[in-house]
Amino acid sequence: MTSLDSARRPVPRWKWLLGAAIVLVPLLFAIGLTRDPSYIPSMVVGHEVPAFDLEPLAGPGKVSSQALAGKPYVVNFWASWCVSCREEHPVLIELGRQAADAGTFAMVGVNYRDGRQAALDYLRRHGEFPYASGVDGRGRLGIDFGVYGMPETFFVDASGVVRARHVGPLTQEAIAGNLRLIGATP
Amino acid sequence: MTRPFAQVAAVLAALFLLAGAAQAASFRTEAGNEAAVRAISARLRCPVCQSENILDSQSGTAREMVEIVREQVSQGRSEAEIVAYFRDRYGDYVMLSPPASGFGALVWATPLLLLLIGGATYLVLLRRNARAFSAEAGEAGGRAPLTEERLEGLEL
Amino acid sequence: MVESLIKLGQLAVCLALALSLYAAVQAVLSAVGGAPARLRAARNVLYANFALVTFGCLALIWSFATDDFSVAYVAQNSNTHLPMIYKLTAMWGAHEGSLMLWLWYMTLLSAIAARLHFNTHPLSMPWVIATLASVQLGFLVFIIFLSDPFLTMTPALAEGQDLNPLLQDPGLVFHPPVLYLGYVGFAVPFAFAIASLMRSHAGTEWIKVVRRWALFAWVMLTSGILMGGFWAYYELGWGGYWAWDPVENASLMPWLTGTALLHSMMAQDKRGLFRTWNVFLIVTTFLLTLIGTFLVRSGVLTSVHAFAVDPGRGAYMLGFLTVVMVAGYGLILLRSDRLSADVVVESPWSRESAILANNVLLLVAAATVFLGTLYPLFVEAVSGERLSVGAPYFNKVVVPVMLGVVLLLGIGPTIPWRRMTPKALASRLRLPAFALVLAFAVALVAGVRDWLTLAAILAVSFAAVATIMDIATGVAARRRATGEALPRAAWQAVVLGRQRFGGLIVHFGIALIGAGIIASGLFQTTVTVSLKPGDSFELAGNVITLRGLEDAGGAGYQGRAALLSVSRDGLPLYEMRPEKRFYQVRSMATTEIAIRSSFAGDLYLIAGDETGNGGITIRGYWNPLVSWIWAGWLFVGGGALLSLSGMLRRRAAPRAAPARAVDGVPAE
Repeated sequence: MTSLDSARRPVPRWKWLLGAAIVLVPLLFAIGLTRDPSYIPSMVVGHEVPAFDLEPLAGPGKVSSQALAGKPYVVNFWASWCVSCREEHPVLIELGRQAADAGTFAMVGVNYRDGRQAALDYLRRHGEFPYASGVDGRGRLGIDFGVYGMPETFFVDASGVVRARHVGPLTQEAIAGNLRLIGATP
Repeated sequence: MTRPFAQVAAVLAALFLLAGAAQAASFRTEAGNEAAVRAISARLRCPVCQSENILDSQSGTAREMVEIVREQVSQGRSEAEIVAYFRDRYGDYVMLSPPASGFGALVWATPLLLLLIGGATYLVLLRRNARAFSAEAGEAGGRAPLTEERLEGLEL
Repeated sequence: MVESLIKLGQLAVCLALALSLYAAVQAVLSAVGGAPARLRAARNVLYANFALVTFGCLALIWSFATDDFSVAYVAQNSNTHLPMIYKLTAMWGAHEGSLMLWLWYMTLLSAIAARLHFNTHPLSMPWVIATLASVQLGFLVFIIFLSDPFLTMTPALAEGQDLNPLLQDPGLVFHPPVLYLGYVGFAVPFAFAIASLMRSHAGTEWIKVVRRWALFAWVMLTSGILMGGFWAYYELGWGGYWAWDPVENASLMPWLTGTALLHSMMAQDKRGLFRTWNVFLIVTTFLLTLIGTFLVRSGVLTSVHAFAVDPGRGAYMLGFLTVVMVAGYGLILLRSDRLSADVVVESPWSRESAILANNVLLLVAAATVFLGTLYPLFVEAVSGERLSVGAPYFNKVVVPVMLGVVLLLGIGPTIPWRRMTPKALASRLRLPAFALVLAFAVALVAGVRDWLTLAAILAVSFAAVATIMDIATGVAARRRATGEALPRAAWQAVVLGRQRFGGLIVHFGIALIGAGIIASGLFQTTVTVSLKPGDSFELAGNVITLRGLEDAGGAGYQGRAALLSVSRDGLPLYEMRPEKRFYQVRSMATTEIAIRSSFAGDLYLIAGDETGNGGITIRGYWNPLVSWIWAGWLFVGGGALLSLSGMLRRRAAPRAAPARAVDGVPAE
C-alpha cells in the first residue's frame, strides 16, 4: 500500500462517522458531567398557583390559596422525616418573621406526607414556625406542585402566578433573588 | 437414516418447547380495571426515585400516584388523559416512553433510521463483494463454482 | 500491626503504579528499537504488578475480616455483625473497592497473557505489553489519587456503617467478580488489536489467540449479566430481572458487540474476512466496558446501580476514556488500509453473509441502546428539556432487532461457507420452517394476537428447532459414516467437533433464554390483594391462603413475615414466607421475596404493608418460564466451555483451508 494510493483514494464514509464519534461522544459526556441528572424542571413556574385548601397543622381556620390571594407569598414544603429540612429550618423561621414584620408578603408551610404528631414534635424540638402550616397528608398538593425532592419552596406573586421554585434547603441568596421576582421587599 | 432421526428429534423438541410455552401462557386472567391501572402505572416514571416506574417503586409519592391513576381509571378517563394529568405537573420526564412529538419524535425515529442504514449497509456491502468476486472470477478465467457433495465421511 | 498492613498494601499499589509506567515506556521503546531485554523487563513488571496488587487486595480483605475500622473504606462498608462471607466480599461492594477488583483482574489477565503468548507472538508482544501496562497505569492513577481504598482515619470508629443491606446477599459473592472478569477479559483482545495496527504488518496469526480470549470474556460477561438479572429477580422485589437501567444497558452494549465479534472473528479465522470489522469491534467492545465503568460512577445518569456520584472522578474517567477512544479509533482511521485483504463474500447465501448480517443487526441493537441511554443527556444539553427514555421504549425498539438475530441463530450454523443455492438452503431449512408454522398455529389457538409476541415465538421456535436439527444431523452423519451405536456416535461427534457442537449448544441455550424472556415478559400475570389471616386468593390456578403474620429477625435486621400456604385443586402443596426487613444501622427497609420455581414458571410473592387489623397486602406474580432463562444459561456456559476446549485443542494444528462444504454439516 503506497502513500500515493491512499492520497488518491477518497476517505470512506465510515471514517467520517467514526471521526465524528470520537469528538462528539466525549463532548456529550463532558457536558453531562456539569449537569445534575436528577433535576426536573418545574411545570408550575410561570403558571397560576395550584389551588389548595388545607387543614391547619395546629390552631383554627384553614390554609388556603384563596385567603392568601392578593399579596405575594412563599410556600414551603417540609416534613419531619426530611433530613435536609433541618438545614433550612432557622432560615425559614427568620423569613417568617420578616414576613410578619414587613407585611409586604406572606408565608405558609405545607406539611407533606407526614404524621400530625411527628410534625408537631418536630416543631417543638426545632422551633415553631411564625406562620401556619397546612397538612398535605397524602401528598396530593405536592403532586400538584410537582414536588420531587424535599424540601421545595415556591414563590408566588400578588396575582397568583408562581414565579420561582427552589429545590433543596433554602439559602439567603435564593431568598433574596426570588423575593425580588414576586415583588416583595423583605 | 439420518433424515428421519433428525426430523423426529427436532419435532419432539419443538413439541416439548411448545407444550411448556402453552402451559405457561394458559394462566392469563386479569380484572379489567386493575390491569389498566397496572399498565398505565408501568409507563409512568417515579419522579422521586427516578429509576423506577410508579408501580414498582416503594416510595410514598409513587404509591400516591398509583392511587390517583386508580381513581381516574375508575372515573373512566383514558390513558392519554391520565398521562396528561401527570405531564402537567412533572413534565415529559414522567413519561417512561418519550412522547411522539418534539425531541421525542427524534428518539423514536432513531432506531428505524439505524435499521435502515444497517440494512442499506448490508446490501451495499454484499453487492460490492459480489462484484469484486465476479471480477476476480473473470480474471481467473472463471472459477468452478463449489458444488455440494453428498455426505460420505464427516470432517469435523 | 494491622495499620502497617494496610499501609503496606497502599505502598504496594503505589509501587505498581510506578512500575506500570516503567513497563509501558520500556515496551514502547522495545517496539520501536527492538531491544529484547527491555521487553523482558516490561513483561516481568506485569508479573510483579500482579503480585503487588494481589497483596494490596489481600490487605484490604484482611482489614474487612478483622473489623479494622481505622480503614475508612472498611468503616463505610462493614459492621461487626456482618456475616463473614459478606465481610470478605464487601471489598467490591462500593466504588473504591470495585475498582481494585477491576485492577486486580487487569494485572491477573495481563500476567497470564504475557506468560502464554510471550514466546509464540513475538511480533505483537511489544505493543500488547505496552497497551496492557498503559491501561493498568490509567486505573492505578485513578485509584491512588482519586479513589484510594487504603485511606485510614483517626480516631478509628468503634463500629462500621454496615454494608448496604441490598448487597447482603449471595449475589454479591458472584455477580461483580464474574461480570468484571467479562469486562477485563476484553482488554487482552484490545491489546492485540492495537498491536496489529501498530506493527509493520498487521498479521493474522494473533486471531486464533484472540478468539479464545474473546470467547472466555464473552461467557463471563454473559454469566455476569445473567447473574445480575438473577440477583435483581430474587432481591429487589419488582418481579423483574431487567429494567433497562442505564448501568444494565452499559453491560448489555459490550455484550452485543462482543457477540458480533465472536462470529466475525470466526469468519476471519476461517476465510480471512472482516479484518477491519474485527479490529473495530474489539476496540468498541473494550471501550464500551470502560464507558460502563464511567457511567456507574460519574453521576452523569441516575441509576439504581450508581456508585459514588462524583463529577471529579467522572472527569478523570472521561479523560481516560477519551484517550483510549482516540488511540483505538484513531489508529483504525489512520491504518485500516493495512488490514484489507483480497477475500470477499462470494454470495449472499453463505455463512459469511449471515455473519455480516449478524454484525449489522447487533451493531444496530447496540447503537439503539447507546443512543436511547444517552438521549436524555443530549436533549437536556441542547434544549434544557427533561426527557426520559425507559423500559417501554427499549422493549419496543430493541426486541424486534434481537428477533432478527435469533432468526440468524437458526440459519447461520446450517448454511455453509462460501455459497449455497437458495433452493438448497430452503430444503435444508424445511424442518425448522415447519416448526415455525406449527408454532404460529399453536400461538394463534392459544389466543396470542400481538404481532411482536407472535414474531418472538416464531423466531425462537425456528432457532431452537434448527439448532437441534443441526446437532442431530451431525450425530447421525457420524453414525452413518462409522456405524457406531448412537451414544458412542454422539460422544465422538461432540468430542471431535467441540467447536461446532459447543457453538450449537450455546445457540440452543440462547433460544431457551429467549423463550424464557418472551414468556415471562409477555405472559406475566399479577394480582395485588389485602388479606386477613384465613383469606385466600387465586393465582395461576393455585389457591394461596394467608395463615398469619410473625416476627422475623436476623443478623442486623428486624422484620415481619407473612406465612402463606399454597394449594391446588384442594391439595396443599407448600408454604411460602415473604418478609419485610428493616436494617437498623443503615435505616433501610428491604423486602425478601418468596419464590417457588417450577418448569412452567415461578410463583413470586411480595409482602407489602400491614393493613392494621392483622392483615397484610400481598402482591403476587406468576412469571412463566423464568427457570428456562437460568437453564439456558447452563447450556450457554457449557457450550462455550466446550467450544473453548476445542479451540485450545487445535492450537497445535491450524487448518490449511476451510473444509469442504458438505451436505448437512459444514465442518465449522
